[in-house]
Amino acid sequence: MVKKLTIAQRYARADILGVVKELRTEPPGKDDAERKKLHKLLSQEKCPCGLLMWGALCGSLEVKQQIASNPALSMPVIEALMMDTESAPWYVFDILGRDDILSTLICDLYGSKSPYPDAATLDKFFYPNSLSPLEEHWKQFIPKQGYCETMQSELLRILWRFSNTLYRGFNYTLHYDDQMFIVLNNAVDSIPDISSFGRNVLRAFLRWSQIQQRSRETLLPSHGHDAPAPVVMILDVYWRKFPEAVPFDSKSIYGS
Amino acid sequence: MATKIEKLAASPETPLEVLLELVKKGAEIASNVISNPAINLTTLRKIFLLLQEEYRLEGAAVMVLESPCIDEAFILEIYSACPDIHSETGDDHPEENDYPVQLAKHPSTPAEIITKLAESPFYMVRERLAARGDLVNAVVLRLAKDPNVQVRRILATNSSVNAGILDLLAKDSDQTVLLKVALNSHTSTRALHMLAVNPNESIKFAALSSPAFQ
Repeated sequence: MVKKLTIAQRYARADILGVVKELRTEPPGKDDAERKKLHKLLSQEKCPCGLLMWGALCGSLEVKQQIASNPALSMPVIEALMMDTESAPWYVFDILGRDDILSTLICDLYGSKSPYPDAATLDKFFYPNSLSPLEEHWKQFIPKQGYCETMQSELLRILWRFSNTLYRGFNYTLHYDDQMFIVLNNAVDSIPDISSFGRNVLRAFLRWSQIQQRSRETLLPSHGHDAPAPVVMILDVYWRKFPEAVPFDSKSIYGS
Repeated sequence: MATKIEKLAASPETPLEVLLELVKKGAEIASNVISNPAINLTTLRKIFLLLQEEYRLEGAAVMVLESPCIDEAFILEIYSACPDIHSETGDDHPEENDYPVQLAKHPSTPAEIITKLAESPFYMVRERLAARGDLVNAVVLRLAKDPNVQVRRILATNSSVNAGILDLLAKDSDQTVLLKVALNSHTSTRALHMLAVNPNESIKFAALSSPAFQ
């Protein structure tokens, strides 16, 4: 009698492209028992690369979350996971929980002269103490009323607005606040000299903040800054990459 | 933990006249009544009228739109009563449940309202539309050219979108849109070949590993 192969044995081939093609034609996990085994395997170091790549590209959110918790993920699998901007907010923090990936990100966003050489954990990275001088600088260009004329100051104005939405009970509006996320996404898209992975992490942070605010749930702890931490980090990157004022055309975004 | 009154509102054993009384006991209880499997369309119409006494018209509409039993004709009646789908309904409920968003999400919303929703100034509404499986071609084309990338990303994952639209999306400037096109089972071989030479490794891999790639 021929012994039935396990899921790991079935897909443990070196031909990753062929494995993924096969899995896309006939996905595993058809019954509950096999699905359970599959999910368990995806989070283990011994999981075949082809299976991880398939799950990172074509899996459900649950599958992708399992993969994100695997401590031995290769960079191509992580990059594929982060390309899914809808799902990535739900596991980006797990992925960045790995020290080596966090270091890769910091190096990617800030180059070799990182202002956060000691940021060994995501917490330390999110809550640096050195934001104030940049914030103080761009704060002075925020008018008492209306939109800013520089992108750097407008981003700060948006941050203040989000702090009020999240922690002071202001209402999130489909028009005004969603438009602000467009400004933030445009800012992320314009940041020069970062990898596709770095940009997708920033996009995932933004999407996370947007979901958080739309649902009016505080999903991350606030800080002394009293602002959504991922957005603070995006501002920090933008301000450092663009030390000179970038003109902001409010009419093209807000229409007034 | 559900209270006694919430359990009563959700129970299919509760008599209809009691359920109609419960509707007046606050939004949470009313929501339980609306989701009650014993509620039919006739009762839902009565509930809609009762809710209008307690909440604004749009507020009542949003609440009944949570019902799975609501049909196209009833949605058209609601729409005739509150045709302004390009405004927000106010502060009474979370934005996910805003009137135009609810209409965009409901599976029974008729095509004529969907077409109007495609012109919504709120991209959250257009995002919800992009995930639907019953869109007419004109709406799909409108969404494929949407200025908001999030809308296009969701559309590219939609398995009901045809190869012609996916060909258009395969030329998008956003990498996530391209990846989703490469993963869509309806993408043409021509588009897959185009994506297979993309410099982004994930997009390239997704195109090359497609069962349709030859």
